[in-house]
Amino acid sequence: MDDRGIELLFSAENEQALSETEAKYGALLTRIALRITGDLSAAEECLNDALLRAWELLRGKAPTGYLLPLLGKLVRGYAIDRCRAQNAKKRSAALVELTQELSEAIPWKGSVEREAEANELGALINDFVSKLPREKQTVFIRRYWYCETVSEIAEALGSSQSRVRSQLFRTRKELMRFLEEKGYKV
Amino acid sequence: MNELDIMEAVGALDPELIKSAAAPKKRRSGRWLIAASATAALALGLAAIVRGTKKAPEGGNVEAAAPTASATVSPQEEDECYIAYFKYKGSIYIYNESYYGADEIAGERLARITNKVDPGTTFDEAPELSGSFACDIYAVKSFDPEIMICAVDGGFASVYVNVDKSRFRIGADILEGAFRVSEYLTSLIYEGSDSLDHGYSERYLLDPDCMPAARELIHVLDEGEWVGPTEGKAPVFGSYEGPERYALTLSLGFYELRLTVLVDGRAIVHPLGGGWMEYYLSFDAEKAEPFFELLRSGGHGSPALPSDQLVFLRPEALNTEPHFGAYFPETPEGFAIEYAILLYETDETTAAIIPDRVKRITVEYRMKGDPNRSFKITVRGAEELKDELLGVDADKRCDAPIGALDENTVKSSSAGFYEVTGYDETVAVTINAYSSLTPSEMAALMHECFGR
Repeated sequence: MDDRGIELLFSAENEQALSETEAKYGALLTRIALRITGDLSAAEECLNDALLRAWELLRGKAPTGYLLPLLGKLVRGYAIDRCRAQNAKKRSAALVELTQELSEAIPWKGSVEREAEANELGALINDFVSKLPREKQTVFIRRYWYCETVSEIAEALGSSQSRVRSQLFRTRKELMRFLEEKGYKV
Repeated sequence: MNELDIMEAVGALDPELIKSAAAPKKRRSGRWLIAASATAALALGLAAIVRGTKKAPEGGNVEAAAPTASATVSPQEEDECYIAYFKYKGSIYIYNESYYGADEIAGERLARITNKVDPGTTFDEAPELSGSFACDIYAVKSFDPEIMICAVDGGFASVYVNVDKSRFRIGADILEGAFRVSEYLTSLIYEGSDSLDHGYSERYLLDPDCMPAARELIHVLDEGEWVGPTEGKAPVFGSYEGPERYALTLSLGFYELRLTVLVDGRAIVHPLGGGWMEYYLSFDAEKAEPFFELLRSGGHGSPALPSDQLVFLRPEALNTEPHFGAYFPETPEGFAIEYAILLYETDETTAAIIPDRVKRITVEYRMKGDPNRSFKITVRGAEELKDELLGVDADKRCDAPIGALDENTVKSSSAGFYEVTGYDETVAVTINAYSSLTPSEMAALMHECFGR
């Protein structure tokens, strides 16, 4: 079933929407959560939380056309929240790898104004990514939003791992310069 | 602020960007255009016959670069080559595609593959049960393991196809011999004269009375001859340049076969040409002319547009697009159109585009010979721009009525970006340049947009 069909089920408050969503995106969303949490059972709980929240948000509402971005945002949020609740030592290797890469471009320090800063940073990153050429855009989003590995991205795009790594490296450098230009400082 | 907050900040990306990145994309590269046998093409094509399975979800769909079939190029030999493969019972199996729903696909466990392959090893030299990765491999239900085998990762089954030269027949028997088209063909979908790489701008389910012409086309194709991608004709995959072409989907009951047919007598069977490869067959274009004429004359049938709201426009149709097309300038010298996307809404019943619901068109222009230098022009309704202006960055934007716009109003950054938006009462035009245009060029281009 396509996304619009699923959203129409949500609109009609038909609970089949949840099973259709899980059938279509369950594996993908679980994989995102798994990369962040490093724990399969936690990832599955994140998926369930995200589905329930999606039900609350979408039931009785007109289709948005953004089912996957919404689900992905929810599951990422739940996965990150779980990590926050854990000891830092328990963080998954994939998450450590992703955040180490991002910290090359986005230096950070502890700050009491965490939420405001994250909001500002989110807007800046969005601005940056929206202006990237399409290929770089896709690679960046697949890596840091979908949490895909370099080899997965290379396969998906019919590219090589070295090319993807090189693109990510350059894009992170450009992001760093972009943030500096925008006055983003730690 | 910590590293998790950074991950959270990345999560705030525009949903449109998220959707766009999820769509599988195939690239082509001259480096991949290595002469290859039609037997391997057939082998890859057979991977399309996976029954009762679902394609991987968006973002999880893994369409790898297809192999060279020369069986002499190792993944390490060429930097641009990335080939997932393994050797089983003396044959090389190459990654073809991943499907979601592993339980429905994977059968008996066959063996364990190790990744003990030294750099520079050719396919021929690869040890038995070795490959580019380590995993268990399984039979594909209903298929002979000599044709295809799969690996399982979570809910995904990645299908690998045997490219052993001696396994398959060569020649003009693919559609009938391998796919038994005349037996299974139930419907034919015309997907516009566009490339697979760029989606489609039109989609019609052909009327039943078109089927005789369609069957004749298949017959003509089946009489064709497979030729390699370097046989003196320019690659066409993913490119707008070249002769008139038609993307077609043959619905064959339980599987679909996708073709691009060119009026100059070439056809590409897409499952055979994953990644950057282009296998095509050469056929008698004159005999296929009745079918082309049918498509040209509008004898399409009923619209079959998906509910997906993004479609790709053919560049030649850009300026005649009735809503925003007139605002797009002539393509600047030295640039070529990479893609043109139209965002629209469709009628749920007829699948037709609702004329007053076209939201915007975005075109990316890429500098010839330098793919890293590009710019985008987005044209949208002024109403939509007003919505954006209410956003958090409204005070930082560089927006001006078209009459007040000059090079000084172009916003720049040291990261190589320039941006400017101009608008009149009904339409807003944004130009994003990435290391390719100067502010004065952007301002001039903007005035050209509104002056057309």
